[in-house]
Amino acid sequence: MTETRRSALIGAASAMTLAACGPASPRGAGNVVAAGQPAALLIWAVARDRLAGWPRKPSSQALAALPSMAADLPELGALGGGGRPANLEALAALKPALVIDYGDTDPENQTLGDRMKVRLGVDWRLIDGALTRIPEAIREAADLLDVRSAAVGLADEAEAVLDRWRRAPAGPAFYYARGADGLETGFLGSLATEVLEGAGWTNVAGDSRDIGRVTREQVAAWDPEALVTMSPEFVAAVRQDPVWRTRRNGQRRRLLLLPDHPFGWIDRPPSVNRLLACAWLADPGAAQMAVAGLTRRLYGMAPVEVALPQWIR
Amino acid sequence: MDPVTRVRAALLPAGLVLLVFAGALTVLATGPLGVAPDALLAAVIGQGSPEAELALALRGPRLLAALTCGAALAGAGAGFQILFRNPLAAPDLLGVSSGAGLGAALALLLGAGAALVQGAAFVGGLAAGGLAVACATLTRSGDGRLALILCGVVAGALASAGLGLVVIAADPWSQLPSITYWLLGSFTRATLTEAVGALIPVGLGAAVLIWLGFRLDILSLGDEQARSLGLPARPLRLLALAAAALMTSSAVAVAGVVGWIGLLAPHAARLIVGERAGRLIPASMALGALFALVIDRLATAFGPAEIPVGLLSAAVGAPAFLILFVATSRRS
Repeated sequence: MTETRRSALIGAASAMTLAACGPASPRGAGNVVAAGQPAALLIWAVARDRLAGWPRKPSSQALAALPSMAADLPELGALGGGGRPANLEALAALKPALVIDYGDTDPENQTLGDRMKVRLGVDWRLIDGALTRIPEAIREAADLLDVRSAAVGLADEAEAVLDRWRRAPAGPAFYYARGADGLETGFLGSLATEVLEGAGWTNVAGDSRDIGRVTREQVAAWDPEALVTMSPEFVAAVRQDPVWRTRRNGQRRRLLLLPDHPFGWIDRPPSVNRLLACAWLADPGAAQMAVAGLTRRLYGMAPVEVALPQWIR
Repeated sequence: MDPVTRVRAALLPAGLVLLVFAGALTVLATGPLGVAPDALLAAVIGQGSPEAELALALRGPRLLAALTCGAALAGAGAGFQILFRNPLAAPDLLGVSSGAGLGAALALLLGAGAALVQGAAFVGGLAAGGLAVACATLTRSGDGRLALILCGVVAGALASAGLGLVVIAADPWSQLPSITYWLLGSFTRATLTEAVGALIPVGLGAAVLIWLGFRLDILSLGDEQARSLGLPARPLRLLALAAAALMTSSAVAVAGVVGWIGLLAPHAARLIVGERAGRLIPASMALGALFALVIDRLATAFGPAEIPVGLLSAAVGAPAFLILFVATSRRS
């Protein structure tokens, strides 16, 4: 083996070893760890320079839309919930000041927080992730991150959006089609459809809980006026299969595509990103300004990059 | 053959076909849309109400997918059991299901549409099966059956490890549920084009296995016996394996991973038509199709949320297999 090849191999092995040891402390990253992606979005919205990394790095399409520092943040893994689990030792090596979790304040999450607090030796705060409590969550996160005055505007705006959302005009009876084949749905009362139901839209998927799969015939039997999706792949499938848009009386069913980037408008993840759907649902005809302003505050995106929901012809 | 046996031999296949036909009609005539059978019949001849036409358009592909996948998995299972002289051989023996699962999960991770997911599953299944056969060919041990089983385990394990990596990398809010539901199996996602499309490779594989017929019986005795009877053992075995893998991969691409059909149906068929491949394979396919219809109907019998057919096939198949095993052992 030549010297050059040996050096190259040693170099590659060293790089792999370093990579396997965990994320290096990133340039410009903060010292607050998000337990999951919902918490990461909350921290990003309130004080993005404090975020130590992403539990799961956003897609390249999302990163292209976000300010460049989003791409510089490392992927740390998640502390609980689904997805790639974090390497606790690598997290501890970052010497975080705080871990923030954002979601259900149920005993399971609280126990997880207590355990992680002991294992990591870092303060762990669980913030209530309920949709209607987003303004309070923003204020609580701002207090924890010492940016109360900077976040006042966002919290007030969130409160105004939710007020308008609660008084939104009633919408159609809808079926929420998740995934590329559209057969995964959020049932009535699920977190996945809370945004739409709270705005007076009627979820046809009843008699079950949370998220599940249904059959095409079941959707047809429910006979929703509109299909709601965040999946362009599903929209393409519907275009190829007109049965999806055929109602029981032979009339055509409407199809609404909600934006999925940089983060989903309805859920995925269930965080402050849902405010965008609330702002649009409050006044679908005149929401452009509100959505643009909110997008800038939540994500730091330029208004020109903002996408709006589309009724597909 | 005495007259009674001859009549029985003629009636049993006809009875099986009738049973599948009756099951298919029942599935076609019932569903949440609640369309009456006569309205459905009118829709078949193009004179139905919009609602009946809708019901037909939705039930038809699902029914076809269930029949095709059930028959494919059972036929492939029977083929594997004969070839390997192993009653526990199932369609995933060469890692085909795991490979198909990996292909589909990768496609879902990359945000592909339904058709691409199916294509990736099909290719993944064949790739895993091909890897197992290629590795077994390298070993040159004995008549190759043990090597094939071991290499199938290796291919399946590699695919499962890859699948685990994909699951870890998937977004828990969007991709992970889709991957999980896909892997648990469903006949409902198939469109008419996809269901008809699956018929071609499944029909081709079934035709090859049925054509091989008595040759499979001879192959099951071992390569030396087959060669002494003038059969080219190795090429024929590869042909049978390719046919069974093609059937399995097509079924998994359409329905996801649905276990037990390929194990259970051949055992039940063996009780009815005996051991000979020429009768066992078609009978297994008929029973597999019937079993798929039953679990598909059960999948939607307990509320609007569909119970994944992969779960149901295990829940129904495992006890049924046990009953069959007890019945067979008592008979022998």
